[in-house]
Amino acid sequence: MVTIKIYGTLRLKCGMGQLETYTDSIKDACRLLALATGTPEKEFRRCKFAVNGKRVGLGTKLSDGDELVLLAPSGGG
Amino acid sequence: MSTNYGGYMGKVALVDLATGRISEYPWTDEERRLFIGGKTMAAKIISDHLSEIVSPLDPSNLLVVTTGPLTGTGAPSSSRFNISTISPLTGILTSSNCGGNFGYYLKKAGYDALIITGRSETPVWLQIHNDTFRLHPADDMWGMLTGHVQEHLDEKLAEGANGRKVKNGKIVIGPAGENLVRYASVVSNERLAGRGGVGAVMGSKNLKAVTVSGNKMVQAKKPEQMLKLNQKWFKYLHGHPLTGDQMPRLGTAGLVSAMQFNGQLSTKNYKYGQYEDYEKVNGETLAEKYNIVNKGCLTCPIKCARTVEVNGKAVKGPELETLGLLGGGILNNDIELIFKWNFELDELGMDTISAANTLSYAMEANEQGLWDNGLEFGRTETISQLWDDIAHRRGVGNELAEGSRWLSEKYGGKDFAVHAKGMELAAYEPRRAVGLGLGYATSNRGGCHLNGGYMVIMEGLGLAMDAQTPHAKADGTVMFQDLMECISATGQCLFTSYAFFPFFLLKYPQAWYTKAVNKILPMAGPVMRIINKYPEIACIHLPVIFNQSKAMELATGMNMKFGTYIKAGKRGYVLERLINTKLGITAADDKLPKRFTDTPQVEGDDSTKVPLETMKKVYYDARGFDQNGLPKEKILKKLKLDNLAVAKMPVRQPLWEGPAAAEKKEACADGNH
Repeated sequence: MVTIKIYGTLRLKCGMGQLETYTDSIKDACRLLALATGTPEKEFRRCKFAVNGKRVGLGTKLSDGDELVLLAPSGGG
Repeated sequence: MSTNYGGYMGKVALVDLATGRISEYPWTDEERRLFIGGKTMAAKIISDHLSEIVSPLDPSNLLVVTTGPLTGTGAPSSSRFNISTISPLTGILTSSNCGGNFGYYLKKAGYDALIITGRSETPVWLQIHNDTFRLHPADDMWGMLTGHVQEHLDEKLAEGANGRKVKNGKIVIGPAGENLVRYASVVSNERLAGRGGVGAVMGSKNLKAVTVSGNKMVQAKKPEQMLKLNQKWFKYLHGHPLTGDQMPRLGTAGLVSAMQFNGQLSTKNYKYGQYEDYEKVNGETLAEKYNIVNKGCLTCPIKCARTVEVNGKAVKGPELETLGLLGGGILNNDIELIFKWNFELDELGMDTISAANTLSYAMEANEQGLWDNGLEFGRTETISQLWDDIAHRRGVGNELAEGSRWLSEKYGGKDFAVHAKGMELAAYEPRRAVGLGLGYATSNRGGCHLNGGYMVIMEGLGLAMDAQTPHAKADGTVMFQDLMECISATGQCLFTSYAFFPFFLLKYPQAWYTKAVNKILPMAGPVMRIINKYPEIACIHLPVIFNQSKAMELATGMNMKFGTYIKAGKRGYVLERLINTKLGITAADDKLPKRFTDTPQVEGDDSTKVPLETMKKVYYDARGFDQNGLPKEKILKKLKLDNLAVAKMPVRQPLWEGPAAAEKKEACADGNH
């Protein structure tokens, strides 16, 4: 089981903040998120990713118990 | 005095509260060209009188309220105004920028700036309507909270207009300003000139409020072209991922989660960079559960302000800084308490950043046994009362009103008193964004992320440049400090500068070109150095991403390309530094607490310290300063600052007074020499 958390404006757009699911890669996780929310898959694939608190790329594999975080770029003040 | 430039009203008012005399302050077109407006214009005015200013809270200090030439021209996010003075918190020049509509109405009254000097014997408020200035007694308002006094002023103005509501701009102070809290703010509607204690300076002058109204119009030099540019610019900002999506939907609060994952979220007085309960105090929670409506300043397409409910009333929601510093900063996971405190601090007229950091310093000092004050991390039940005690200088609040530097001089704990030059830092933990660390240390007004150049936007927030490397950070810091200086001087919001990063780099962080840019940026120092050293070579307008220079040309008629724009910002930045050096600032003051420079955030990983001294050497070189942090003659000459009175002035004694000076004064007063 992998816990997926979504932050930033994508969370508001897709209406989901967290999903627990079985998946073995970030690419597959994006596919599952698209199915679960009806939001285009590309919206998820273009995020920044972190697995267990560490920044990773789209091609990263996932293991049971991982926490995957999707973040949109941000700026503020 | 009038002007040949568009965008300006051509007049500056000088009000002496000691005599009640109102006069026009001379300000020439040459000064407009060199010092633009906003904080840069204010720096020039203060520099001309620096030798006369006895101390920050002395009547001789100036409170300079300035607008920019874009204010009132319809340019996006251009309704901001600036308040500069010598700060009681830092003893050096401070500038505090504010949204809302005061700047717009000041120009409607026909003025580009308002200079206030002297001290009234009794509390007063100043009413400006076009060229009519009236000082009224304010005894009945003294002690009022900022919201209440603004309502009261609206009623007074209506009384004088046969019951009609008068459209006006206001600046007011609350009890904190009246009681000279060193980080008291000035409030305008729901917006604040929060930083540096500008409210205390206003309070020291016995000035409770200023209202301004008028019916004059701001004329751009080329109005039709300006209108077309503004339309295109609004469209671009609407389509940009930061200014058109993140900021309108989540506000600055949307950064909490990103900072958490970057290890940049100040936690337990910046001891850590991640807060385990961040999800309870982040922007997503605010947006999903509490936000009532988004609000923005006049002519702003970004609309970054949130609205939340406190005690059944819709009030301004907290910004990132307040969420971060009154959340993880003091180990509080109750977001509704932060809403309440944010409202209370605004009503009392106090800067949330300095108040929160002073509090977290006090909690740590207590924890370490340095100061028995009863304040503990995670204990929140007495905090509302504490704000009131600070604003009214009661009990422990009387000492907290002095700020963290003052307290650390008295009780110890300088290593964890998180300030730079006396001003408390923002919510970004700099050990995981070392360029921002350099910015905090070198920022002219003290520990400010924005005045520091906001490198963190490239160090993990917007882009993903290596946050730990010192490479290119000094040149990047200089470039963005100068850029933001000029944006601010023109009267625009700094948030418009985020559109400087092309949308595709932010929208597609996984794309090969974005990854390539992130890799190349640490090597881009020499390129940035060329622009920093010779800005005039960029004699073009940058297409699409940077409309600011074109807008300045169309609004004012000045010849202003990207390079001249940067140069104007540089002139302002170096002038502010020059003023500070005359108040005793040197390289030794461009520092951070040892928590950031000597203790790694991640145990055993020295890359998670701020390599400040390494970056400073490059920074001074890029700035044209000597290694003691003093501007060299060559850069002063190049920026036409060498002939200013301040350049020839000797270095003065520092104007900041710590606890030792206060004790000495008390002893003198008691006759105990």
